[in-house]
Formats: sequence, structure tokens, C-alpha cells
Amino acid sequence: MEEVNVKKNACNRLRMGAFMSKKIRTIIVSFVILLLAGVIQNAATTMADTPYKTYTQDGYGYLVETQTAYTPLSTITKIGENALANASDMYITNDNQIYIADTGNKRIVVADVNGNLVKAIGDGTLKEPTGVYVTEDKTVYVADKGARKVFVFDSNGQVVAEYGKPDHPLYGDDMDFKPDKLVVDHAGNMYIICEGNTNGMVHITPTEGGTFLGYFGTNFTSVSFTDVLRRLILSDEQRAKLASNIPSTPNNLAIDEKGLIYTVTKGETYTSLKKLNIAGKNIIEPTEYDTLPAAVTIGNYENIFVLSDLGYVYEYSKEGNLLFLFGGADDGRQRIGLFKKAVDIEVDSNNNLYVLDQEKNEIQVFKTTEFTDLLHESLYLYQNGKYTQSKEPLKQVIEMNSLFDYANLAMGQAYLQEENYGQALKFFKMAKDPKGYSDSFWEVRNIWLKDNLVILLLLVVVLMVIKRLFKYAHKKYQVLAPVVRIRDKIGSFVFIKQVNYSGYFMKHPIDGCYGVRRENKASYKCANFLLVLFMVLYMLNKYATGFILKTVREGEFDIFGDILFIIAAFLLTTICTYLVCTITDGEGTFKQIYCAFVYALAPYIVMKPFIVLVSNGITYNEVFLINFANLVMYIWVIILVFMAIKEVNNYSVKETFRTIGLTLFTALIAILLLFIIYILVSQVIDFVQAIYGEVVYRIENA
Amino acid sequence: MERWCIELKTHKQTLQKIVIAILLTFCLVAAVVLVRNLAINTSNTLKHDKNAIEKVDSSVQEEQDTQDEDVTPVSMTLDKSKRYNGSAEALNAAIVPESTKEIKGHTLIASNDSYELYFKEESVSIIVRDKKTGSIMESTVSEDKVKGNNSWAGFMKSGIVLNVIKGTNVNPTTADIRKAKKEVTVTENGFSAKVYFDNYKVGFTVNVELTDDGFTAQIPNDSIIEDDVAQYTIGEIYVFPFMGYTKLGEREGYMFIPDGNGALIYLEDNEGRFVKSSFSSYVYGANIGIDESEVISLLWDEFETVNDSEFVLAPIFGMVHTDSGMGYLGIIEDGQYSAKIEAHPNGDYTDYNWITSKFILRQIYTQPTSNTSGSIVTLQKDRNQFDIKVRYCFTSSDKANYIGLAEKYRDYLISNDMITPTEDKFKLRMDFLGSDKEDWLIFKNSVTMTTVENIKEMFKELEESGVTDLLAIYKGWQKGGLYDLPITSYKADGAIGGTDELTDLINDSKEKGIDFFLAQDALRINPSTNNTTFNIVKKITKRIYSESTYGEVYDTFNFITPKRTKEILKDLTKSYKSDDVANVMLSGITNQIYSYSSAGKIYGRVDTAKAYDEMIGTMSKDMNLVLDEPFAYLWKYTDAIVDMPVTGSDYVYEDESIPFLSIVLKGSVPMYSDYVNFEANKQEYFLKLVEMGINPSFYITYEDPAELQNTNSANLYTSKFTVYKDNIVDYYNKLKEVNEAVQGAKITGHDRYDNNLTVVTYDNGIKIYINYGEKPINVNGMTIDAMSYKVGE
Repeated sequence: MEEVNVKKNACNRLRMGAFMSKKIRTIIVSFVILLLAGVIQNAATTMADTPYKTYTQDGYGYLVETQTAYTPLSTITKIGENALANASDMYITNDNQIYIADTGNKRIVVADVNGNLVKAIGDGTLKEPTGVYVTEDKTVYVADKGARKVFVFDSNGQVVAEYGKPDHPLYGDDMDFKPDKLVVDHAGNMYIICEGNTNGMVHITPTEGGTFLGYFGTNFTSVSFTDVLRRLILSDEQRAKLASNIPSTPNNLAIDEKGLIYTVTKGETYTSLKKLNIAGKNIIEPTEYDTLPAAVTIGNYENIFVLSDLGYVYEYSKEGNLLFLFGGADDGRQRIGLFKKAVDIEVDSNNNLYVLDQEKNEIQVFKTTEFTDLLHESLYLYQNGKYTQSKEPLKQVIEMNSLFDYANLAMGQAYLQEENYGQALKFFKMAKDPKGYSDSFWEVRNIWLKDNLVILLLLVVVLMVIKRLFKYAHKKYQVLAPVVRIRDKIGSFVFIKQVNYSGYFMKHPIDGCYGVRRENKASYKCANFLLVLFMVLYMLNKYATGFILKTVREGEFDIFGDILFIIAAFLLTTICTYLVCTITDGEGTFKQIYCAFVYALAPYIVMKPFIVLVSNGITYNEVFLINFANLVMYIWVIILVFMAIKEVNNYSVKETFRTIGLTLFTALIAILLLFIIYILVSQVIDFVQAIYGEVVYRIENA
Repeated sequence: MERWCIELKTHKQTLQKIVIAILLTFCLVAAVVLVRNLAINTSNTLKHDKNAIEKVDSSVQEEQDTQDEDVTPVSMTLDKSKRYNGSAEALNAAIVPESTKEIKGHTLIASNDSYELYFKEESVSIIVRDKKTGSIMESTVSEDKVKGNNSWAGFMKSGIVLNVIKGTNVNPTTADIRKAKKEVTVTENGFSAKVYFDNYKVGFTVNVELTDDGFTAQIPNDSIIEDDVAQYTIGEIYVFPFMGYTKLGEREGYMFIPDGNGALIYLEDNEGRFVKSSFSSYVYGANIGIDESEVISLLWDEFETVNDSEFVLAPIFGMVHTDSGMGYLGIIEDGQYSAKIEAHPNGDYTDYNWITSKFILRQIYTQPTSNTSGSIVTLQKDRNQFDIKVRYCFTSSDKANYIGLAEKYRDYLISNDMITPTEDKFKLRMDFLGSDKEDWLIFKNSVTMTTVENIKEMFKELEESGVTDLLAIYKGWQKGGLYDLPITSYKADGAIGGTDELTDLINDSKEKGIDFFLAQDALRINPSTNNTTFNIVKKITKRIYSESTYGEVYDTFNFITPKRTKEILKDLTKSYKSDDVANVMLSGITNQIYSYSSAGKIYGRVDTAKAYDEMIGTMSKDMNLVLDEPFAYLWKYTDAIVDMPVTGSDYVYEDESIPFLSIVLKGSVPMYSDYVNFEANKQEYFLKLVEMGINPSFYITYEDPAELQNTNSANLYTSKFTVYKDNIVDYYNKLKEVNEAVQGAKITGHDRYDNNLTVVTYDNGIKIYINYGEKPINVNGMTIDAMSYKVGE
């Protein structure tokens, strides 16, 4: 009875309804109000609008905005009566209890999802607990950096084991043991990240009071080009001053049901998130990465969550496709869901996200939205092989956001599994996934070929027969005489002759160059025409190549940029070559060099249309055809350019090489010069503007 | 015991009922307790003794709520209320039962039927006493010892606070009014105090006058004196900053801040959580003409991941002491265009909770002197010229809550003709996107999403499904597409069907009873499509203001000067009228005011607001206008408010977001929500609309929005009509039913219960029950399913 009064009081004091005049009715209503709901939610004020935006990634890798994935649910500022102090890690068990490494208070606190204290572990034992892991039987493993030990507590909070520095030659005598974070697999093997230990995770098995099994999942160093240059140039003393090139220690780790270990490492790029198999080999390459990851955890659908130091939360599918990205740094904006120093992320069994903020000393809880629930449902169905069922939630996701490419991709995969290749093709194209597209295109083409091969062959035969017939008829009765006459007439125009000459040029470069030099077989008009043709083909190649080989975004055009680029590049090389030739006894005129260069592009003009055409009908299996054709084409062009320089200027091979080298150098200098002029001019402009601004200011404030 | 006596006195008439009610309650509760297995946490029991005394304080109907122990009406979440205990001592100190000559050094100078005004000359501070309940509110901190440095002590002990700028020193100095010269004249209803600071050579006159429901404080523009402008200028003026302040968690109640639709900050002890975090927001949005945009960290230096915070749409703020039954709503009547609302929860510099209006007279800004680097700190040369007037409307006992404040504001708006009550009829809003542009080869290609024909077809389809009451807004109808701005004449894009077709559609819609509006952004100009050599807004640094779009096709927009906007709108009105177009949805100028420089002259926010007020006023005489999320000063011109926020900005110190503006406007001006399309929690958002009485909005295209990927509208990722048709019909039918039940009625009650039940009461007796929980709730014989609602009596 007492308790009821108190509860009622605590609340009624703040009741704000304006009921005085309607007391009687309210009494009746109140009598009747019967409450079935027992669950009391912490925040009655969760809103659809969030302070942060949510992004997903489209197939090109661009970030696109999407519906909110997670909304703030509540904030845990205290566990029981005490605030957290510098907490640095947490773990959530299957029954939704939160174990927090309360570093500053030297203990592990256990709380429920509402922040009520369940118990505290390790008071008096722990010195600086920075990592905590709880097994299914509620055994608590604590990494204690200060005590340089890993403590193991049973479910009653009694210490049952502790592990200090491994006494094993492989561990390294000079290596300190400062456990920072840890996970434990089903067999009780510990994987421990130690501060300052760059060899990898320390792998300890509990047998014989702790046996060191070796290092696991070592990060590799990379040597950049600048490093190589530095090593070449710098003296030993200078080199000693540089930061030594040692592998970085992982910052945090997680383990999934199958015992696969996930690590995050700061400063790495695409390997900042790793998924390690039993052999310690990375088996994931995420589509996007954060350079400053702080923590990683695994969700209920093998989805991976990565938390960035800056407060961003990344959710990946198990294959490493970025699903959502949200959150951000507080920056004094004081809004819920932004972080000051985010250190750990966990997921509970209801898919709620928990983010621990070390500076604010609080845990922010996020809840999935209806949109995210749909996506998770489809992930779950797909992973269990229920492809057909997974399509329904996916369809809804796509309806809510047609640019959500992961859903398109999953839809494509579902259709591929169902052997509905036409639909799969469509969704893979929308998802901009060339691999899936290629696979389904292979099937689609197969089916098409199966249906049409006979007709196709027949068609070829018929065409050949017709051609033969015409040839025969022409030979006998000259039926094609008018056509031949027109062809000859067109061919007799000088311009057409010159254009046709490029065909001869590419087959006989030496003779060709002679023709350009001595026989006036080329003109500016013709060369310009061919250059324009080249530009057109260049763009055709860029924008009309088959889907799987395309390098630019669908629907993206930058024609002006392309034209400008080609003209600038072509003029630069031609002018530079000409300049170099004039001082190295070259005999060619500018016109000759220009024309010869344009003619040297002939293989491109001849071959590219076919390559582009073929590229639209192939899959990854035949992609070597295209690559090979391109290789042949480029080598041919290079040879022609070389021959052009040599023959037009009447150089020896050695002289030609020298000229090419000099040309490249000249071009470099020219670019540099242009750049310097640009900077100077902009400085002058800025200077004038500054003076103007100053004068205006002085006059106005005089 | 003292407290007990007071309570008895104030509730004499209800005492008998209370006793009976208590007995009844106890009997029932005892029965329930017997039957039920007590599994509830009993930790609260200990607090019983302390709180028992307050039980009498509760009124009858509240007693009855305990019929079932689970029904605990609260306006706050349960976890908060646990540590939410005011002290009886502090409450006693806040109630002066009998009228006296003097309270805490303040002498009685004016009195009317409801309130008494006490005044203390030394600090120019006042105390307001509610005659009925005896509750008081103070305007300065009465404690002798206050934590903090001298500057803060001076601040807390001054009724009016000046921030004086010394030269161009970025950090202003607080002027302690106790050290100033004062000439006080007691007037009939209050006083007038002329204040002069010898050390800074600045001064002003403040007039305070008791009104029927509170008081007004006024500082006339011409009373402000700055005798030594070269050295000392007035930066900011706080008017009674500590009015109704409380210390830590000693009292019960909340501060009301006008963030978005409205939000509350509870007067609880924050235990130091909110160091340096307080609400400080310009009334009517930030000033783009002078303030630098926030320094923010971008994701990968490229993406802005934080949404803008909501506008302060109305110049209001409030403080409510629920324990002593006293609250006030502050309305800035004059000077609102250059004012900020500040709310400081305890822990932010001081131990006190305080909320205030602040007026900005001068600002220091950075004047760049070159394009790349180099700048000088400059003081705004001319003071912003405006009168200051703040009206404090007090509410008492059972009206001392946010409903009471909202009712005050509603009455104020209506009696001052600041809103034009229109017919409250439910309509569903549909915005259509006509066309936008994408880069294609050399030219820009038109991407047509919804043509006039498409709209006709959609209207027909909806009509067949019974959806007839629509408010349709056509965006991107103009020649050149959505972002060919500004619109200077009534010419539709050929891609959507052309002008004649559009006129035809408008006439058709009129016949069908559909309100069809043409959207018009009257603020922005697109430098890629229009000449921006003249008439664009320059900041007061004389640098052109440009707004980044982060779009694919057009990077930036500029703003058109109010002068030019006026000309454009005038010509346009003519152009529209000649084609019988009468409905226009204005955006841009409806929620943006700024300082700017033009032809060597600096214009302030006051000037911009006045210009917009005038031009929209003129236009509204000839046209039917709907305004996009308009500021309060424009409400009188609009037929409806579109893009009404349903929440606040989720600041960490906000404890609850409340439908304050909805309560004010429901039944008077129709409100339309943000687009439903982009909501991730559709069901929850739907319930929000039911709760707030806001009509739903959809952004619709006929074609698949994926085609917009290479346009500036790429962020429109879901809008296809065929996808949303069922949604629209569903929302329409459900919300129409709800709205018809409460048509024209005003909200008189809004209660949130800790089992996720929200009850909204209207003055026609209708109650709407909304269950945000995951389990069904039984109320009044009705079962409200999880995530659902019911309309009842």
C-alpha cells in the first residue's frame, strides 16, 4: 500500500492535466483504466527525427542518404547510484546483462539494460580493468592493464584463475604483458590484445595454468614508395629519427559464434577491419573503412558493427558491404546520439545498439527502426537459404529507398539462386555489381544462344552465300559496276585519300612516314578529322563500354573535360616533340609531326569500335579477349609513335630514344611552368583584392 | 507540518472529497495487492515518509488514478522521476501565504486582483506573487553566498544584465547593476528605472508594469545610452535572466524551450552532467549575414552527418514550478528579431536553472581582408535599433503546466490577431516534383518526374479510392525545372506539359475541391541559370553569401535581397492573377532572416523581417498563401503551416519533447508534417501525427526517383506514386476519421503515462488514446492495441 502511494505521488506531483473542471469524468476514466503493459520503457520521448543523418553506400561506393537506421532509445548515465569512471569496455550477454569495465572505479559492474545495478565484480582485486569478456556460463574474463594480468571470475564473482606474463621463449623476454582487450572462444582459449605488443594477439590456452600458444593475427607493415626513397637518400642518423616501421597493434576485437575473430586497427585502410579465420588469415575486405576504428562487435545476423573514434557507427553485412553509417562527433552541439569519445559498441539480443562514451561516462542506447528491421529480416532469411522469402522484405526495403544498393544486390542474388536470370541481371545492374551481372549475363546469354544458335549460324551461312553470289555475278556480269564507280569516285577525293592513307600508315609506318614527309599524303584537315574521330571513339570507349568493364558511373558525362584533356595532352606532346626535334637536328616540320602522330592513332580508331562492341556481349570469363585486344592496340600505337618520331626526323634508334626522353622532360617542365604562372597570377589577384578590401575598410571606418 | 497546514488551507473545499477518495483508494489498492503477487520493486517504499505529506496536495482525480497501481500518470519518464525529489524546505520558501510589505528585501509597489509586484531598487529586481496561492517567483538569486566568480555573482544579482564590449575585445564584461546609478519612479502599476553605469558610460531605462496576468518589461530603444562608443558599447541585454530560477533539484517543474514544436528541461539535479551545455538559440533561426557557420567535423572531410537543429519558430519561453503551482510564459513582443532564448540547466556554470531572453545590440565579427588569409576582428559599427519588450504571462495552480502556457499563447495570438483562424478541415498534403536537371553531354537535360497529365491521373485514381480532400503543392513546375530560381513569371516548363496545361489542371482541381498550390522559393537565386551580378545578399563583411547544396548539378545558391524579392513578388502576383492562379506556397523567405549589406548600407534582421512581413502581407491580399515552416510573425498571413516539426532537436539536456505549438495552433491553423516518405519508423510517426493533430504530407513523383540520381534532387530516394498510393489512402482514411471527431476543437489536455499511453483531450470532450508501447492497453473499456490509437470520450 505504501509503495503504491509513493509511486503515485512521485508521479502525480507533476501531473499537468487541466482536469479540475472535469473531475467526475476523469474519476470514471481513471477507474476504468486498466493497464496490461508491464514493460516500462526508459524513454517515452524517442522520436523519428534524429540529430544525425544515416548513410548507406551505393554500388559505386558513393555514400547516399537513407532512412534513419537507429534512433536513440535511452541514455544510461549511472549504474545504480554511481556514475561510471573512465569506463573502457563492455560486453552484453545473451540475457541482456551489460558487463562494464569500469576502469576508473577499478571494478567490473554488471547492469541491466535500464542501468540498474545487478552486481559489481573484482572490487579490491582489479587495478586497471580495460577489457572484459563473458562466456555463456557467465565466467568473466578481465584484462587488467594495471595488474598486468588476466583475471577469471566465476559467476559468483570469485577469482578462479589468473594469468600473468607467459613464460615462454617465443613470447619474448623484453616484451611487457599489458592486457588491454580480450575474447575467449568456446574452448576457453584467450585471444588478448596487449598494449605495446606489436606481434599480434596473445593466444593463451587454459591448460596447465595457462600455456602460450603463440601470436595470432599479426598485422603487416607496408613499405611505401617514399619510405624506399628515404632509405636511399637519408643517412643512418637521419633514418634513426624517422618513426620506425613496425606493425600496428590491433585496437579492439570481437569473436563470433563460429569462433572467427574480428579485429580493428587504427591507421590501416582496407584492412582496418579484419575477419580472421582459424589460421589467422583475413577473409574479408569491407567496401568502406574508417581509419580510426575504436571497437568492433558482431550482431545477431553476423552483421558487423564498427565504431569510430570520431563517433561514427558503421554496420556491415557479413561479406563486408556497408549497410549503414551514422552518428558523429559532438563538437559542442550537445545533441543525443553524438559522441565525445566513443570507445565501445555492443548489440543486445533485441538488436539494440549500445555505445559507450568514455568522456561523457555514459552508454547511449539505440533502437532499430522499422526500416532496419526489414533489412535484418531479409539478411536472416537469405542466410538461412530462404531466398524466395527474403525477397519480400527486400522488396519493401527497395520501395522505401530505391537507391539502397545492398538490397538490390541481395535481390539479384536471390533471383540468381532462383535461376531467374533476367530479373537477377536487372537487379545486379541496379546494384552496380559487375560480378553478379557477369554471372547472370553468362546464363542469360547461354539461354539465348541455345535458342538462337541455329538461326544465327544459318544467317551467317546465308550471308556468306549472298556475298559469294554477288562476287560471282559481278565477275561475270559487272552488276556492281555503279557501286564500284561511286566508291572509286569518293576514293579519288584528296581528303578521302588522305584519310585512307592512315590505313596504309598503320601497316607500313616507315613508308607511311615517308609519304607524310615527301609525298604530301597528309594535311591538317585530314589530321584534325582523324583527331576528332579519335575523340569520339575515346568517349565511346569511356561511356559505351559494356557494364562489367565500365570505369565511369552510369549516366555520368563530362564531355567538355574529356575534349579538353585530349586536346591539351595531344598538343602538349606534339609541341614538346617539335621543340625538342628542332634543337636535335630533327628534319620534321610541325605539320609533319602532328600528322604523323595523328596517323599513329589509327590502330585505336580501327580497333576500338569492335572492342567496345564486343565488350557489351561478354562476361568476366572472356574478359581476356578485350584485355588482349587492348594490349595489341596500345603496343601498336606506341610502335607507330616511335616510328613516326624516328622516320619523320630521320633519326637513328638511339636518337629517337633520346628525343622521347627529352620530350617527356620538356612536357614536365612545361606543366610545372604553367602551374607556377597560375600560382603567381592568383597571388597577384589575391593581393589586389586584399588591398581593395583594406582600402574599403579603412575608408568606411575612417 | 507547516507545509501540511498550507495545503489544507488551499484545498479546504476539496478536503472532504479527498478523504473519501483516499479511503476508497486504499480499499481498492489493498484488494489488488492481495490478489496480485507483488513482484514490483519496493525500493521506493523508503521514501514514503518524506513524500506522504504531499499526497494531500494532489487533487481528487489524481487520487483516483491509484485505483490500479499500474496506472501512474506522469509527464516524465519513470527513471527520471525516481531521482526527482524537490525539497519541502525550498518549496516553503517559495510560498508567501499572506500579503506582506516586503519579501526578501523587495517592497510591494503594485498589486491587482491576481498578482503583486515587489521591487528592490539596489538590483532592479522584482518578485511576483500569486495572490491566490501565495507562490512567488524571483528575478535575482536571493542566496547571499553564490558559487562562482565576481562576474557571475554580479550576473545573478542583477535584474537586468548588460554585456559590455570593450573596444573589440571578444569577451564581453558583465555589468553589475548594483554598482550603477539608478533613478526610480514608481508608477501606478509598476516602476520605471533609469540606470546609468559611470564606469562604462552606458545606460538604459527599464519600465515594468503589472498586467492582469503578469507583467511586461520594456526597454525603449531611445533610452539606450552609449556615451563612449569608442571604448564601451553594449553587446547584449538580458531582461530578468533569473526570473523564476530554481536551484539544483530543490524544486519541481520544468523550463519550456521553443525548440521545434517544443521541449522541456526538468528542474532536476543534473549532478554536473551538463557542463557548458545550455540552450542558446536565435529566435527565428541563425543570422547567416554575420555569424560564421559552426566549425564542424565532416565525415571523411566531405559529408555533413549532423542534421540541422530545429528553428525557434516563436519568440516564447517558459518556466513552470509545478510544486508551488506557478508558471509563466515569456513572450517577446518587441525586439524578437534580434533576440535569443537561453536556457541553462544547473551545472552549466551555476547551480541554478534559469531561462531568459537575450537581446543582441552589437556583435563582433571577423572581417576578411583577402581571399585566402588575413582578417581583422571588427565591431559592428551601428547598433541594431529596436525596442525591447517582454511580456510575462503567469499561470496558476492547475494551469501551471505546459498546457496552461500553450493556452496563454493561443489566447495571446488570437486576441492580437496574430493568427487568422481558418476552417479546420482535414486534408492530406501531397507535394509533386515536376522536373529537375541533370548534366548530359554538353547541355543540361531535363529529368521529368511528374507531368500535369500524371497529376490528373493520380488525382483520378485517388478519387476512385475515396481520397478527395487534398492539399497539393507542385514543386519544380517552372521553366527550367526545380532549381531554375528565382521564378519571375508564371511560365511552366514544357516538359511537364506547358503553361496552358498547368492552368487547366489548376482550374480542374478547383472544381474538384482540391487545393492546388504552386511552390515558389522566393529567397534563392541560382547563379548557374540566372544573372547574379546585382541584387544578391552580401554578408555584413561585404562578402557574397552563398549556400552550398552539396548537389550534383548546381553547387551553390545565393540569396536575393529583400528589395528585389519585393519587385519579383509584385510582378509575379500580376502574372499569376492574369492567369487566374490564386494559390501559392511560399518558401525560403518564410523562415530566414538575416543582416546584410547593400550599397554601402548595413541592414539588420529587423529590416529584413519588416520587409518580408510587408511583401507577404501585400501578396496575401491578392492570393491564398501557404507558408513553409513560417516564423511566428508571418502566421497571420498563412492558410496553413507546412513542414511543421513534430519534435525538438534532441539536445542532451532536453528531457521531453512536447507538442507545444500543436496545442497552440490545433483547431485554428491547419498544420502539415514533414514528408512521411523519409520516415524510417512509419507507424510511430503516424501515431505522432494522431497525437499532435498534424496532417500528413507525402512527396510524390510519378516516375521512379532513381532517375533523379544525377540531379540536385538525388536525396529524394523514395517517392514513386504506385509505391505510396496504398499508404496515402490508408493515412487519409484513418486520420480523416480522427480529425473529424475533433474538428475545430482545441487541445485542453495532454498526458503521457509511463506505460507508453498518451491521452490528448480536446475541448469538445473527445479524448484520443495513443499507445506507443508494444503491448495492448485497456482503457475506459477499450483495448488499444500495441502501436495503435483509439478515439474516445
